[in-house]
Amino acid sequence: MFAKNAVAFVFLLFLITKTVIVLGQDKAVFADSISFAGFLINQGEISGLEFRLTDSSGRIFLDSSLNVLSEIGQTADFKTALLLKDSLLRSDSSVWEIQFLVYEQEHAFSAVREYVSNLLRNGDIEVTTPDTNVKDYISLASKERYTPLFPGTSVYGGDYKMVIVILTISLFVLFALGMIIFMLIYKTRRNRKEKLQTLYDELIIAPLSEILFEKTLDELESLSDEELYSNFPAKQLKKSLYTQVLVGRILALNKKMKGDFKLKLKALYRRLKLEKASIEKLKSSKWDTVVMGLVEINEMDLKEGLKEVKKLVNSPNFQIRSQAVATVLNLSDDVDLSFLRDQAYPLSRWQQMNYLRIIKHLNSSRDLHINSLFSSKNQSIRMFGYKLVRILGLVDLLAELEEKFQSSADPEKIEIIKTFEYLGVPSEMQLVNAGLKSANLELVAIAAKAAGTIGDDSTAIIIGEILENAPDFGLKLILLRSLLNLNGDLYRQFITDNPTSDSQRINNHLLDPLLKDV
Amino acid sequence: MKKILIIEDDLLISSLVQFRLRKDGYETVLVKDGNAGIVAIDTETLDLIITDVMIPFKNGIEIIHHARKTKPEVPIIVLSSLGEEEKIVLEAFNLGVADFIPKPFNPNELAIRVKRILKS
Repeated sequence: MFAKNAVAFVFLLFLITKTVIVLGQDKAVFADSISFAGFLINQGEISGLEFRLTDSSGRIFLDSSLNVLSEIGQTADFKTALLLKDSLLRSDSSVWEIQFLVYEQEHAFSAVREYVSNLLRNGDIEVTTPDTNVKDYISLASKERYTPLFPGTSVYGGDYKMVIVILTISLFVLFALGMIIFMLIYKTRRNRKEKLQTLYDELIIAPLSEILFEKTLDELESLSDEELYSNFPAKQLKKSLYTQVLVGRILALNKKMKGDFKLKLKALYRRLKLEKASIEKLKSSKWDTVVMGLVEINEMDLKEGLKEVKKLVNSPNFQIRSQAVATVLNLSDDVDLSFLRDQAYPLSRWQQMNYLRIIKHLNSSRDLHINSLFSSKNQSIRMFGYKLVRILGLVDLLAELEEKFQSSADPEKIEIIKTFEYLGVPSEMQLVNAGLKSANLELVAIAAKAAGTIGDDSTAIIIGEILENAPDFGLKLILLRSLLNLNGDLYRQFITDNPTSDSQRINNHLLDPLLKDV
Repeated sequence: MKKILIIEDDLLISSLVQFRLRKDGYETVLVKDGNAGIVAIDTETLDLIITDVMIPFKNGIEIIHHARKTKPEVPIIVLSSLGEEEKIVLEAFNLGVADFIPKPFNPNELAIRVKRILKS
């Protein structure tokens, strides 16, 4: 089919070319017979064209002395023929005429003109320049192949711009071809994988449903290999994609089902020996494979993998580290938070939220030694420990926080003060007072806020001193709110003594029953 | 035989629910998206509809609206994740659904609820 089309295309091109040539013949090369005669004179010899002289009786003039080509008196040069005719006219009474021969055949003047015109159109003859007999350089040049000026350079390599353009186009074409081939291969593989996944899905869902609904947990655990592998063929289990789909489906069901179905799914996972593959994934060099292995171990409660998981809790990879810590916390029966103390990397807020969710659940069942986090060299771990004291309400650890306060950096002090405020411990107000005297305005603001809840008269005096130094509006609002809570007399005295617009606005705000808590 | 329409885009869940309900002797019609659900409601003679909330093309609430207009006598059970918006769940209840089962769920529990609803 392709060959037929190619032949038809080439024939069409041939027809178009021929049509152009034929149409081009309509255009006259010589305007008239005079210009044609002039051309013949200038041109000299023309291939296939000869001239001879005949008289009225048809006698042919014979003379071998004047550029005559043959004994019968023919010449290839029109100028010679004209000269001969003129000389004969002067010496002879007979009237001699020039006869035109095209390849030895006699032709009329008009026919010869058409013949020469065709030669010119086809480029078969070169036009001779009149007078100087110099060739037409443009027409000559158009027929000549380019040759470089300097020896030793190639025809195409001499023009470096052309080389760059050709190279660029070639590279682009190659790149485009490469991309197309890559996309085709990729799409084919992906389609094949999708088809296989759909097929494996269908193969897996039916036996999975049957086992989950028809077998009890005990029956499933005591199921013979023969029966098990009749549902999930051993041959298929050797295929990685089949295993991948099976593991994916079991994990998805484990998330969406509850009750004894979860236990059955975990039992089935072990019966199919999928746990080995999950633990093996932890040794992969690809982080996503390792994380997938961790998720599988976590979801399927594969405690035998804990030893390997613990090696990853301080991994430089954020995802691996986060998932490994979550898995250790979830699966280990006896682990406390001391392993978290030694983490070298800072804890992100997302990690803190994730760990908090698990720790909240575990804290009610066993001692996690949260205070071990206070001695971590990692500031974010220490701060996480303070937050845990606050969120879990561990008042028995407040004494340790008090000890840490003086040696802590400002961000930690802020967390400690927030914890004291949240738990409402007035006995620790000296920490709040120390915070109020800090040069760090953020710490002062937090301490001022806490002072309203857990401060006393000494705190009110410190607040009064800070207010004398004209703090900015935001801090002033916090300080006055705390002062109002601690000592109403001092508050009113300050407002009376400082009738500034800011003080009046804050006073109106704090005394307004609707706005006072905003 | 009672006929139950299951509208659920998760093939695994829908297959398990179908398997469980067939085991109890119900005839089931399984569709994967909202448009197919609307067509099934219009063309099938149904005794119960079980629908997920988040499904392609038309959500569960639109399905319930349509079912209430065309077949108000058919009871509806909504299967949905707990994480879904409270507003959606409340709207479903206001439209008069018979039951709401949050995911993760136990298919046996679903089967018991189906049995109870169809008996009443």
